[in-house]
Amino acid sequence: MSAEAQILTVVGAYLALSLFVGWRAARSASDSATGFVAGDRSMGPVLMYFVTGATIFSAFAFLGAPGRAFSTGAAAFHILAFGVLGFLPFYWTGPAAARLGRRKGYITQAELVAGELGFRPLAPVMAVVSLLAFVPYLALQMRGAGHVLEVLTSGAMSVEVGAAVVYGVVLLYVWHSGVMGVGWTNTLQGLFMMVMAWSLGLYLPRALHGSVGEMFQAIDPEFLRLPGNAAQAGERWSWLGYGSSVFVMAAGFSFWPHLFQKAFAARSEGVIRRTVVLYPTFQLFLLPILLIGFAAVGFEPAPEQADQVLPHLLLQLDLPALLIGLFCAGALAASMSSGDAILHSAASILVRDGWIVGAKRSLSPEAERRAVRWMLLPILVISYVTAVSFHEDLVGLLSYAYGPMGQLAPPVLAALFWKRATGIAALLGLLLGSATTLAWPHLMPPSDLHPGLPGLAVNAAVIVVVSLMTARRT
Amino acid sequence: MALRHLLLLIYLFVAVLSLTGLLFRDISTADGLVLGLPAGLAWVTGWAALTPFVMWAYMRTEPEDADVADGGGES
Repeated sequence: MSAEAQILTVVGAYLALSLFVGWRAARSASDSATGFVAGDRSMGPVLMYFVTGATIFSAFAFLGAPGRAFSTGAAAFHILAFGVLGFLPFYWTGPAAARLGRRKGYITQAELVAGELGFRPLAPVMAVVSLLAFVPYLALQMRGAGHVLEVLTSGAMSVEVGAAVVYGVVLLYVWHSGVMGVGWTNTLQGLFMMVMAWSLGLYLPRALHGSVGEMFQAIDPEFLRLPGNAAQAGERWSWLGYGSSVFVMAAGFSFWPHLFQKAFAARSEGVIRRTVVLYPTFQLFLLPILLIGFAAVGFEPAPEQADQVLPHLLLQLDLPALLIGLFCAGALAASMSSGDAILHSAASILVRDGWIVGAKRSLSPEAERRAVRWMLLPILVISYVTAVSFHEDLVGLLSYAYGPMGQLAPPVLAALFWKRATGIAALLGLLLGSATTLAWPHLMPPSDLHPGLPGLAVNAAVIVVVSLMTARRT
Repeated sequence: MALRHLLLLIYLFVAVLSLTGLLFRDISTADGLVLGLPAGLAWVTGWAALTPFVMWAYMRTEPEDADVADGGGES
């Protein structure tokens, strides 16, 4: 059997196992929309830990993070830094949302905000903002999966075919089992990618440099000194760019709708709090991922693209095909564990926030579940087309997606914790904050400042000022 | 404000300033390796390792009848 055939056999076995686990998960939820979207609000601590952890660690973590370490050095530490802080707001927002969800039937973030502020138009607007971020993010996961398969099969499987095969499997188990399929496959994928990341992160520095310490000693100290290099070759990143990037990405982290939505799936508020407490342990999984990128510094031949560092090293080291296949499956697990949650969340947001809340159409629980299933298809197709036609690097694509996401934080916080907040204020804050974020790089002098920071400031200020000037609808 | 809230607030404030580079920049940019890692990476990893313990302590001191804020209002 050729090396490519062995790799594809391992990958095929992994995909079959994911499909099996995801398909069987349908047994653990009812046939209702709440069962399909929120798992009947029954997820326990293990499922919550892996579903939140693995959802966040995506193709970006497995491919983009080593690529960033390889190309920008210490600048890559910001990926670990924003993750340390990013999930903490969920300790307070998660239980508050879960309680309201149980009492009022909410199953999406936008539905909660619109309902609490008594202002329906917020739901479709938030849905649009979410989808604008979801499509590039899902495209990123698809391209990561296709990328890995193409490189490790020496081009025998193209990016397009690889992405289609992997996401065909994802579509099947999400279609059949909904959020419980996402949850149980994420548990499998989370365990698998942690084992693979630590194995690789310890093995590669040792194989190439003798040890982790010797590896770092061989690298230029300036390259390893914060804030590291900018994405543009040869330039240093500024502390303004580093600090504002950490802040904005941390601020938006727990407000990604597909992650926030898991608050409605948790069995209890205690489960959510324990998940947040344990969450940074999942974050430590990024450490070996960064070591992989540093192991490639100075390696000859250098990879053509930074995102290809990991598969490039694996092929150059002449490892057994079985092992390469396992590592390949680990990278696919990272891609799928985020892609499935985004796909499922995007479909439920379209139906619940766009159609039911926004357009005021009522659907029976069965019809709603059916509609969410059918919405999976157009979202998958649009993301796939984006994936095969967009050629930014993975981190660039992720940064674009994080821009609008951070803007969801002020309206959600206002809806949960500020009784004086009004719906029109939240809507204006969201729109003006997003507009500021998008316009900032074009209107202001060139700067490293993350445009999401002025966007957040405008968003929060507008919510406070307009809320004080208007009355809430009852 | 209860002491547990105040202590957590201080911890989070210092963590945010440290991880964004506004505080302790000398430590995070020091020369040499710390436990085999560059100072900046060891610094960030240290925060990731410490935070679960701090949050665990905060959770353990939660009063039995503690209630989270319940929505901004009725619709």
